Amino acid sequence: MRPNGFARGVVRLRLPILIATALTTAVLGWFLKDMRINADVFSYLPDKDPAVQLNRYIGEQYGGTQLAVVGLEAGDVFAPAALDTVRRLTAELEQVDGVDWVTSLANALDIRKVDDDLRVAPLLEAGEEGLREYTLGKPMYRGRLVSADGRVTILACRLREDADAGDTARQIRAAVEGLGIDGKLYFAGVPFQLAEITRLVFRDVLVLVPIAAALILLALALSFRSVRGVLLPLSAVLISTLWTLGIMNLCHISFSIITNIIPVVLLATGSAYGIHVVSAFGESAPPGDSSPPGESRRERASRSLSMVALPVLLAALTTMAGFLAFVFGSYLTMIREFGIFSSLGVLLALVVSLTFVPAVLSYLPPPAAERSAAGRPPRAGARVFERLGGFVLRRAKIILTVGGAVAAVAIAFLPMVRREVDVLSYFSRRTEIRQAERMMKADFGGSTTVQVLVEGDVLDPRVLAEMKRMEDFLKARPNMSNVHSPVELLEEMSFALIDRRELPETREQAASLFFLLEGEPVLDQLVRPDRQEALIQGTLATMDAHQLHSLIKDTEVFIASLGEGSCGFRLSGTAVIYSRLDSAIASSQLWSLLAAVLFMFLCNLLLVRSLAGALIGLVPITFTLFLLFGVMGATGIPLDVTTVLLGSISMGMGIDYTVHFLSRYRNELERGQDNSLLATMNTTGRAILINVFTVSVGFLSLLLGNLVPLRNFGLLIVVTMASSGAAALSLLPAVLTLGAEKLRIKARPPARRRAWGLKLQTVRARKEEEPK
Amino acid sequence: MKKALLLAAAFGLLAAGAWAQTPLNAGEILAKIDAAAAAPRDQDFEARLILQDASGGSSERSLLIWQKGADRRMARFLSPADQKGISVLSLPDGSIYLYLPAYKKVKRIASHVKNSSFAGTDFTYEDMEAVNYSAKYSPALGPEDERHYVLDLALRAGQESGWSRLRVWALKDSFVPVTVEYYDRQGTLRRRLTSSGVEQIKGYWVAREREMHDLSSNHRTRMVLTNLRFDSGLDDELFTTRYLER
Repeated sequence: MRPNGFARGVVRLRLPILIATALTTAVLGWFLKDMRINADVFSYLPDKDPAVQLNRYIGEQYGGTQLAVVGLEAGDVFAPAALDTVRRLTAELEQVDGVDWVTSLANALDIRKVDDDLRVAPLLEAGEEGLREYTLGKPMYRGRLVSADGRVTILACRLREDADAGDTARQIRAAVEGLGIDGKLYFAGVPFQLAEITRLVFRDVLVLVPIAAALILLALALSFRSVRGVLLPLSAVLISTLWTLGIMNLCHISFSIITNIIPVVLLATGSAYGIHVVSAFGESAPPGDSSPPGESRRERASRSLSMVALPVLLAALTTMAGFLAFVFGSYLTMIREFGIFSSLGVLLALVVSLTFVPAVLSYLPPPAAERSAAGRPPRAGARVFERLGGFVLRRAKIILTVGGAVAAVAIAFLPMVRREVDVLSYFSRRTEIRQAERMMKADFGGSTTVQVLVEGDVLDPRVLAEMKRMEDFLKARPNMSNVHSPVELLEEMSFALIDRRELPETREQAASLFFLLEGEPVLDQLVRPDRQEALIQGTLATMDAHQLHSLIKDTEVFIASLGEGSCGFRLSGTAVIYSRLDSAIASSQLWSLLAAVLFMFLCNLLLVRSLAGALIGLVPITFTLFLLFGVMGATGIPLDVTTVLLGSISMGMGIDYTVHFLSRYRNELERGQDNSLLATMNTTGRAILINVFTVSVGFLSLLLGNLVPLRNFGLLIVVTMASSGAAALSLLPAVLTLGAEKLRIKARPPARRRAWGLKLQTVRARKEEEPK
Repeated sequence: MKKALLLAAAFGLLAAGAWAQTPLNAGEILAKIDAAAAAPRDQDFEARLILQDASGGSSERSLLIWQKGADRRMARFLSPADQKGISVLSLPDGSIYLYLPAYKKVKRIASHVKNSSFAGTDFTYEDMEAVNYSAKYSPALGPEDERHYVLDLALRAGQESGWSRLRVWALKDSFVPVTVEYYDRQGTLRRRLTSSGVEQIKGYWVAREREMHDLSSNHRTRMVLTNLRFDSGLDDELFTTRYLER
């Protein structure tokens, strides 16, 4: 076979290719220094999302939406020593750059009548006598600032809207720890979660990538037992990973909880292309072509590369298709970014494997241990494959029955797959963050915020009455607590002024009450200075997707039932954002899977050129999908921003096994083998197992990750790789045994074979027989 | 010769005069600042308060203010319309009374309010009074320039204020403070008052415009005084809770 133009070009330009690769690596590697991490889950939704925009608007107008909570657990928070600690903490936290305002027992607004005087002052200024009873008797404080049993109190730090939440959280922690406080401290709220996720993402990237590389190196060494077979594929994939990350930084794309998987994904998937190229260089010429004796290294390199370029290209394309499914199938920015940059990474791995690797190989002599396949003693595992092949052929029906039963069980578990959007689920249960959040839930009604923006003239008594109705509605929702708005402050003021806790009857009365509150920071957090808009706030002690959905639905129905009133209501808060995120994950899953199935079907169709064949090719990955979601349903591993990626990725990678198997099978049919299936099992079967092994070992490194979704991802992808491999070696041949003829999978006419199939089949045949 | 002697004598006198006019010390300067502020027997004016927040949004309110001596003051809101008639009375014993026409009620407000915002502006109730700096702060001379005395004022022990230190730039000719910087207990500059439009009316120096800039919130309030009258003989009756309800 004659080397094609591409292969000749690569070999001719080998020196410039090596130089260009080195330069590109140096330049893009330099950009790695700009690595940024964005742990903010809200930014996963696109900027133009209406829920995100409303949330941001509220943040800008009402003094920041980011709340960092420091909790202090003392036997009795009203004891003088504890109150002194609260004062010290408050003073210290107010000094932290990025903290706009601290609300604590030390400065909480207190409105009351003292000897007929009106007193609007910080709570503690009234003295400590009777403080406990007074504070715990008021819903303004009980369960909002102090736990109902007076054991825990919180200091809520509102961050400036422009402050870096993670940074500020770290500073708050340092400041608090510097005080040497006696008593248990809690750090809760999104800023602390972000700081911790950022730290862990950074750690995971730095630690897991070398581990994945080492594991893949080990797997390659075990499978191929040759230095070049290990080093070249590994360096190809390391170079392309580094390029990808460099380009990400160049495009100002931050690492997220999702994109931090990219390096490991690339290491695990991209090494295959280098392996194929190195293998091809170790092979003698395919049958029918002459391998001229005394062939120069350059000639040999051109010939080998032209054999392998096309199949490697096809394998890369199917994997890219799996990743690109996210670009078309997802609403979430981070998932799209993941799709774009992992497919770019695969493309780069392909480019490096087809240029840099052959360029290096063209300088090297043929492997010393080059042997013809025929002359090689049978390998230790060969008999196992023969037996396995024989078993599959004899017991095709049993295999299909078992496969069908497994799939049926998996399908039964499908409805049990839960969705999870709670950032807290990223952390193990025993972590400090989870403890803090449990405390927040138990004593302060959780930290998921629910906000209702009120659009209307807040001085209008009718608007205030509507707000009160909305508050009462929210208070009656399950798991809802801490519902408050300017209405509560006005009622308190009214009580202090006229001994009646009631809403103003006239506009002038409303204006008078507001006049008394003017300048109090808490007012700015609840109503706009022009009094044309206000906020009702509350917290929700659950992140359960169903409860979030029903809260939102009920509230929308309630708003609609109010009709064209004197004001408008718009629901917002983290509850809404999380709910949007949840729907986006569900629809991302659906659309990315559909896109992936379509891509895979088209790839199959292109390869086998028969509708039935293409459908049969979908059997192993469909089985794997059922198994994946079945395992998720059975084990309780939720569908989250990370595991939502699994379906399409495992399809993109798993389809390769089917493609290899079907190609080889047809090739064997064309060669008129008596038992084409057995031959395929014996050759391609081994290659598939090696691939499953290498890829799985690479992904196993994720199990050492700190973040829960990363570990779940690692575990499940190993399950899917094993399942795709096993299905390709059992279900697929079983289907073929039973119905190959009926399904018209047969040897193609020679004319079409010439077109492109021959290269593919023959090269695959060689390569799979003889991985070095 | 005689002429020369006279000239010399004149020069000598001039020199002696200059010599005799020893530079004022910090305490004297501060006393003069306080005296200038407390000079009028009474005064009344209309104040327009223009509030401007960090994002550029602004709102306005206006009120009439009567003041007798340094420590009796009455303010009555003219606008916004729904706050019209709300009145604040400050008396020498430090007590503050509030009248809310919508509730037809006079209420005494607990003392804490002095350091809190006056009607949502960047001025506190305390800022609205004529401050006696000497009583509260001990002064030290700062680096003066051609037109200003600069004083560093430290809060005296036992005195209460939200500010631990002030730096005051006062005009040398009129002793009107044109810039005051307010530092909190941590020594951070928190807000800055600048006065302009300084002029003499009926022999009293007054700044027609004052702007308080809260540096942490980047919120500003400009106060513009019009219809200024001095020593018009305001009745003591004006400064009573009875009058408040009228």
